[in-house]
Amino acid sequence: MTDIALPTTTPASLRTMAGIEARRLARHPAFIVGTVLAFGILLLMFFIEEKPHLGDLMSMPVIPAFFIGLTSLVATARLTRSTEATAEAIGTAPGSEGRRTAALALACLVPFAAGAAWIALMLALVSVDGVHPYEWWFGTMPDWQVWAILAALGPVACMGGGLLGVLTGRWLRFPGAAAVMVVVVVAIDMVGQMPVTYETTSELRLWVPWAMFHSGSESDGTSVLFAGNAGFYLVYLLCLCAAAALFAIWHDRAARTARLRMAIAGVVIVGLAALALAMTTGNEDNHPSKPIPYKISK
Amino acid sequence: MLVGWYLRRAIPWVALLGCCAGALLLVVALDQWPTSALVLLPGLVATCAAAAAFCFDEVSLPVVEVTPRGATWRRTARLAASVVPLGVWTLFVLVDPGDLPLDTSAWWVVGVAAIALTVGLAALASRRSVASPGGSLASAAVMVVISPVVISAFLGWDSLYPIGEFGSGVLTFWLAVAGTGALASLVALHPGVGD
Repeated sequence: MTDIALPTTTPASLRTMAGIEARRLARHPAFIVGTVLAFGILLLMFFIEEKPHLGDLMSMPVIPAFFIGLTSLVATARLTRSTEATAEAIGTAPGSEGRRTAALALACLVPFAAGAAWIALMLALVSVDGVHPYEWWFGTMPDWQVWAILAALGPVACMGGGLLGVLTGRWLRFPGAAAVMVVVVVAIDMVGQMPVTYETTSELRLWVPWAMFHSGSESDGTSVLFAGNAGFYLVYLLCLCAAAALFAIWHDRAARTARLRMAIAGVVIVGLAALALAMTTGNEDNHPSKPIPYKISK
Repeated sequence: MLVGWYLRRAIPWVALLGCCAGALLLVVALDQWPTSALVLLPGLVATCAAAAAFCFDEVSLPVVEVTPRGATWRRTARLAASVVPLGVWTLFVLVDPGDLPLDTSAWWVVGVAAIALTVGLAALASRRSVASPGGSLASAAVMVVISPVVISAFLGWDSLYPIGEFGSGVLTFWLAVAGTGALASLVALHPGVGD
């Protein structure tokens, strides 16, 4: 049996609890399998690619978002419920519920780090063969826009998956809630953006938690960069992440302080403002690239 | 009659029917936005498979394991509950939401195979004294069923789902999945130590 002495000062004990939860998350089978798959698919794509360069780079962050983000959702939902099972059974669990939730939310930096490492590896692999001059990438679009898209759809989406799992674990108590949430997120993401993405109102897709900014190659060798401001979309996603963490903490009645209410109100206001700015600024229309010859379907 | 009485009390119907309700919402979405079929159809398969994962959840497993009727009767009765997600899936395929130009018999095979494998794994977990495999298995089933959509899109591999034609390789794959599920169920129902 291992004795864990938790420090008595609040920030130190939260840090310790977050460290424990981060290690539990990093060792969770769902998270490990998802992360291995995400990195494995990236390496496979690099080694089996027959074309001169890796392509459709701006749509590739869907891989970590799906495999790391959604498996983190499953893992953190189960971790959240597992701590509560102890509290319900014997009435003992470290700290208050709000503190345990905050620690779990901080542990979601693990999937964020995994997503960031995935993007770093992708950049390294892309630099080996370079990119086609017509590819949407650094050089054909502003650098900040590339970084914003990569950050929002990669590491931030991974962290968001984990935080949604914490929220699910706190508020939904029926068995299989995490599985249902995975399907709901994927369905909302598809249904929320597919009908408008190729229309003149493409920017209306940006309310979904994982919005496409790049189409993937069309049969004529072009690919489309979709409308909207990626920088503000990144801010919107960070607000969604913060809102998920704060609403999960809100589940603890003792934690419902004026400060928490102010924080939730602030995040909602900033998030809505960022969403409005993401929809109304940046690229006004969808931009097709010049055709890349080797991508033209015969 | 006794089987019905047992199933009414033993199956976590809220979770099982909740997943079926989720599938129903996906059907409505598919009917409304048929262009999203590429993801919504596998999502539909995933929710039905997730529902099937709860057929063998037994919170009081250590208690009921030693009852005179035995585990084989219990597991056989629970296997009958998988008719619910199977029926829901069959109904969806017959309704054909969105009037998509689909090979309905091929999609039916896909759903039946996914449900059969999930039920088989749940039965095996129950045999190995896992009290509530449903939650974990449902999450795993959802991820496994949806992930081929992402993988095939990026690696350029043929889809595992009959969006276009149902090739013989893909048919063989799904028949193998169904066969594995049936085998797992048979193994789980076979009387063992303590049965």
